[in-house]
Amino acid sequence: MRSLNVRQQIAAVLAAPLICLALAQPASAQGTGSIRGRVTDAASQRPITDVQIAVAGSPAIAVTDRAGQFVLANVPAGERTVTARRIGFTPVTRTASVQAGGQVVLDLQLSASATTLDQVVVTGTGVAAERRTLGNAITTLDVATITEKASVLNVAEILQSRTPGVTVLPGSGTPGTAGEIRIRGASSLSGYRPVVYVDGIRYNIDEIGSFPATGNGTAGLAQSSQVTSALNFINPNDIESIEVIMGPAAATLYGADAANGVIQIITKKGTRGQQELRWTGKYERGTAELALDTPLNYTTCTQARIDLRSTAGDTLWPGCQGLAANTVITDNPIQRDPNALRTGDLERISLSLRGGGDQYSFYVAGDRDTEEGVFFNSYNKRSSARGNFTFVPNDISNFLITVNYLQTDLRLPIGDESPAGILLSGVRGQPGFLRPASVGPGWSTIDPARSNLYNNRTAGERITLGATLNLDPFNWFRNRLTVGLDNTNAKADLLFLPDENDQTPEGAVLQRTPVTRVYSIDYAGNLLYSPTSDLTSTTTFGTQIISNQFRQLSATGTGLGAPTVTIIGSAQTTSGSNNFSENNSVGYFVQEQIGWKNRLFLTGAVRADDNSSFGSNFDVIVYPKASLAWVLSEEPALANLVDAARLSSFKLRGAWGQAGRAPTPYSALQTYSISVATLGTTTGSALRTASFGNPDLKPERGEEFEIGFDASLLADRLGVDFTYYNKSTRDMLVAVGVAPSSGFPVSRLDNLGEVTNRGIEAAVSGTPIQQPNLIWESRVNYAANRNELVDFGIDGRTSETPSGQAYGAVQQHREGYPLGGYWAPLPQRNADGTPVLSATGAVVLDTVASFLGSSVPLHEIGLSNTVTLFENFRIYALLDYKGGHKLFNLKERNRCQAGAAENCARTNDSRARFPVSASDSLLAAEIPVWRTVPSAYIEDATFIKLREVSLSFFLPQRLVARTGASAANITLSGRNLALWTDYSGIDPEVNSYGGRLFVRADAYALPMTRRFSASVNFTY
Amino acid sequence: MRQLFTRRLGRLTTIAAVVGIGGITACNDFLTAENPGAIVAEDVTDARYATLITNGVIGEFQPMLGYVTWWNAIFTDELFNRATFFEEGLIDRREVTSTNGTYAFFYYGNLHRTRFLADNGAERLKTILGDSASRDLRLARVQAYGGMTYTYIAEALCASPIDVSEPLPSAELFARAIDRYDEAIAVAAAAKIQAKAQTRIVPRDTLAADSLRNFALVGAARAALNVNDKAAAIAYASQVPAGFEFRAYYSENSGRENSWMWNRLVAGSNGTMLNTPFAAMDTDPRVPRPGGTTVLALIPNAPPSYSAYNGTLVGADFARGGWVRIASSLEAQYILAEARGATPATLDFVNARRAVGLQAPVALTGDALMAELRDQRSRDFYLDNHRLGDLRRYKEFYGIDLFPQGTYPGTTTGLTYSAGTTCWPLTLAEQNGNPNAGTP
Repeated sequence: MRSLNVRQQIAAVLAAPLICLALAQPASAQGTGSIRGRVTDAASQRPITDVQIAVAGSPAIAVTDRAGQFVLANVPAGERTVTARRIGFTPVTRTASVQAGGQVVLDLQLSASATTLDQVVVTGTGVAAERRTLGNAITTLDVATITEKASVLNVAEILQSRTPGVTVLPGSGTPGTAGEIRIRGASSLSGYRPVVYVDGIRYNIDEIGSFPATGNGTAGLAQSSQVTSALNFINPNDIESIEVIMGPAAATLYGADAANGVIQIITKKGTRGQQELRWTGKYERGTAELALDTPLNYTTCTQARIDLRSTAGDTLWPGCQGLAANTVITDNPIQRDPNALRTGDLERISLSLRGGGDQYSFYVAGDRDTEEGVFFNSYNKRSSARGNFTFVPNDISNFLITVNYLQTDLRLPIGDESPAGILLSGVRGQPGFLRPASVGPGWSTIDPARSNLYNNRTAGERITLGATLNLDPFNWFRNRLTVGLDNTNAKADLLFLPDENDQTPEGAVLQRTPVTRVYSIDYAGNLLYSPTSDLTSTTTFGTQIISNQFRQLSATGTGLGAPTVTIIGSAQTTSGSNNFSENNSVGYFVQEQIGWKNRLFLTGAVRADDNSSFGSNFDVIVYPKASLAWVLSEEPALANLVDAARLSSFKLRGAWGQAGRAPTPYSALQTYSISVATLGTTTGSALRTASFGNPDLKPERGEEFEIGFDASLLADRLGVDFTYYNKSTRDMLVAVGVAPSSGFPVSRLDNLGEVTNRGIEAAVSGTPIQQPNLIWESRVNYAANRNELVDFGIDGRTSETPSGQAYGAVQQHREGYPLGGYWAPLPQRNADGTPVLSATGAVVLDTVASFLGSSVPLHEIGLSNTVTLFENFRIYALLDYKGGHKLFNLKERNRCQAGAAENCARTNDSRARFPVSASDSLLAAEIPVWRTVPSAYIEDATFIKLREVSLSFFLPQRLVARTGASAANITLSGRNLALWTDYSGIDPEVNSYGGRLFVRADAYALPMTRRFSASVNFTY
Repeated sequence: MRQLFTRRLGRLTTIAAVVGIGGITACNDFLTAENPGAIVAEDVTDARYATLITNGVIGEFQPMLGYVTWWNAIFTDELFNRATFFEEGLIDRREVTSTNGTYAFFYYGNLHRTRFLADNGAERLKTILGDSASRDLRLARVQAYGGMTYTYIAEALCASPIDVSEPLPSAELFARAIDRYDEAIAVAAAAKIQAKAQTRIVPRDTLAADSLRNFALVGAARAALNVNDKAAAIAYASQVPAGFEFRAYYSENSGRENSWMWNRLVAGSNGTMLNTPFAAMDTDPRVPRPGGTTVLALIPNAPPSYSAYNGTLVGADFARGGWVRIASSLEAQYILAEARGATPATLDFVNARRAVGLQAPVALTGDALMAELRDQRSRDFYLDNHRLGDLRRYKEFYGIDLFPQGTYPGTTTGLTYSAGTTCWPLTLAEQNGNPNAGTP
């Protein structure tokens, strides 16, 4: 495919508005009047901003300001129907009699709706679909409100604990790193990442290309908690809302990549309508600190240690000198050493301007975030500019253009299992032992000052361009075309100056420049037909074309000579490489929705996909779906029942559908690579077998059935959503070993086996108290998931170790159990419960491993409460519970198994977790024999975290007016403020193997940090 | 206005139709993703790939030879491995099972990858070159290397599948090796005739043809001897001219091109040393070692088949680049001697080899002479991947078992060599991925 260069692409996108301008109609100003008024909350009487006021049969639209006021000019004279809409409120319609040249005053009140069936959501069909028509669950997050209440730095923090069914598993507390996102469990052996769209444009969320932050020298270790994601390349302050489309039942129309769910991010935009220009500014300043305790290290100063001398006669235990024999000394070097940890600064500035008129709207914003980590060489800086412009030339078309530019500067500290990391060196230290100068007293492998020299930086850049044309030539024919380009590029640098790093004393510099480009074209057409007044038909058809290209240049220079010369070409030895991959897909869909009396909706759809990664013997995959939505509360026959139950609305829904996940690029092809042959004194290029391929390769097929209801009770003050789902993935993409006698290496992908996920999701939201001076809003989410590997699909294979697992196969994929569950042989026990010991004193283990638990939470609860007092004060808190799962405390295992194991928390800490026998004295005897048993370190990781707390003060209007602003507030917020858990490690949320699917272990990953911040928000 | 719009809509519809039809026809191209990092197998069909195919076999053979030589030396009595890697200890004691990852990663897969590239390459060359293939040295080279790879497989593995077949016994594998050698000999001869027929004879071409023919002759003789077809072995070996050597080359450019023996015995520090029989050959420069009183004293230096060999007792380190001899007239002479038996010519040959090893002449006959022949062979071909085939042949055809037996001299006490094991098994990957492999 010939591709346009970036300049041509930008020109094409910018030229597109001209098409709309050509179709523009002049607005009429003859025989018109105006409507002005104020919109307030029916409960609190507070003004509501951003309410869109529309007049039926007129292009005139207005938007309320922060005072809730609006002015609607150019309204044609006559009796006019005025509708006020805002997400989260039940729309209100009134009639106004407009005189030519006159002005009508129309004050409106909106009621907050716990579950609004008329809310518009994105479904992939191209039309604004009302919730009432959907047979599947879609979670919508009002991000603009979330960012106003809490300090959130990335999309994962937005989703965390707020979206039932979405599990966010952060790897570490390092700024700029990203966690895993699983929607309704892991549904594949080869990946569970959802796909993301921003304003209808496919969005890259791959790693940004940083060097692994566990690297020693030039080699690096593959595992790291510090995994990055391009999903962090969007500022939460620019997001209006997020919709999560949970699984195949809902995601069919997204095709061969959507089986793991779809996240739709809708950015902030101007609202078309008459309004004043509105400036919004936000300044936030805060701190981040490691508030959780790091473990103590211990040394028993035995007489032998006191007396031990080197050959030169120097003591090897200087810390024990002068102490009585067998004195126990302790140390916590991480907390003690001023070079180890700091309180990182947080600074965020955000400015936006929005405005609009009857035929256009715009939004421009600029953000600058600086987040320092608790290590001295850790930070993430992000600057972005975003703008969009909507033009409505006439009543049949509108055009949206979006432009986003973002720049990041990320520096990652060395950590996890690298001996050059501060946490590893700190928790494995030996108090009192003589260490070389490069390590320092009390540390194990490196001194923090030396570790802080580690210089791993990634400069990232993202440009996202999009254009959407909505063309409705007839009432019965609507079209939407979206074209987009998402370009992410980075320059990653890893620098070791000479003599700075023990593994690369000669110095080294590494660079790589990954570039990912995603092109998307999305067209959807809708044919609307109403054969009778009760019956509606909506036929939707469309196509989606996506091309994803990745290219990367890498270069390494080793042997820098001088610390000031860091150019790769000047190094003693240099090497370079580049790589490229491409994946293209085309999908077509058609959907038919039949509506009856606007309360019963039956939908059927089919999507067909072809993809460049499918095998040559496989052509097109077809995914069907069907759903039913029934608004029972609007059935006249049930009116009495609805009234008796005090139901405001009740919708029963059910959906069944399929979606897929495409194989990785080129995996279907049998290929050769180019290698080298030594030909005497010269070399020559040589052909080499590379990939066995599989011409029959096809995408995974996810199938899901869900049923549930959305209910609103007590005059919309209480909302209840409930969903049960049963999802299975067949034809999984499984790596199958290739027989080496075939001449090809390792493995090939095949479509085999089955994984299921079953679960429930429930959300209850309400407003228990709604008084003018006291409003209490509360929401609780609950999600449970049961994941099971039903079948590998390979004769004789019933289990395998997840790829990339180190330190023993404590995690396994086993048929009949959750993917990546923890398994280990348990100690054999005597009748009194004590462990059976061998003649040498070792614990005797079972010969087979037992299932110890899931590695991801089985139950999740998010509880948020917002209390507003006297219209000016708001208190908000979010509690996060995750439970029913285990975590491998690898750090503690290493502490317990190394040397004399004096640091073993189980020996010294009240949080000892070994199976305790009836006798304390026996416990002491058990410790030395227990400490080598793997199952002792696979611990219950259930926890509750006080995830977010904030206190906001809204300045009174009279004070705000003096500043020239229309609104202002001050917010104090905190994150990760408290932790309740029985887990004996520092933080049960960490994972040192974030780059590997399913492998989860706590091995020196930086725990989540505690953040405090204060922010000031002004609107002019 | 409406008319204006209708006209525009009509125009847009026409454009959309053109774009749509164009889009559909372009769809196949769009769905063929670029892959500049690889060549799709079905595209390897024209003359541009002929040399690439040939180099592919050589490029795969060179590192494979290093791995196979190393682990066969540990498997037999050539080396004793003090490394702490558990799986290497199992190899040292010949307790190799299908689950041994070291064997699977370094040895089995690389042997078959080389064999496949040779077999597949020969077929592709015949297709690409057409009639001219029968006189093209590239085909001769691919078949000669392919024959040698089959020989290595047959010498080492108890039985082996080929292209996911059922496991074939060594005799069948040797027969297939000889088929490839025969074709290489014929093609090389035809290529030489063609080269000589040129108006301007290029000496390099005729020399290459001779070299490949001799390489194939030695290989064919080696394979014939291993199936106890002594007449055929004599027929092949007797055609090899004196002074012939065929080498595999290494370079210092990259890890893949480095000599594996250098990697393990010079760059590495695994403490692998001369095993008992060879440690005892402490006056023969063909089994050089640094000497001294530490454990390093018995780490071997470069023997005669390696470019760094210098003919001294202490010897020199293996070179990171350099070469290793894989076929020679010396080997042809050994094959002739073994095939002809304890003749006076054999005694003369044995004494000539003893002189190289600074040993006095002997006057042996019968079995004693043949034993001495075997001893000299082990010295001349020390660490160049002859020993395992030799030991299996001695045991199978002469009833002489020279595999290490009894107590294993490792650091862990109480271990013994696996008495009955003389060959390598199939790997787990082969058993899992090959429906014809059966259960071991």
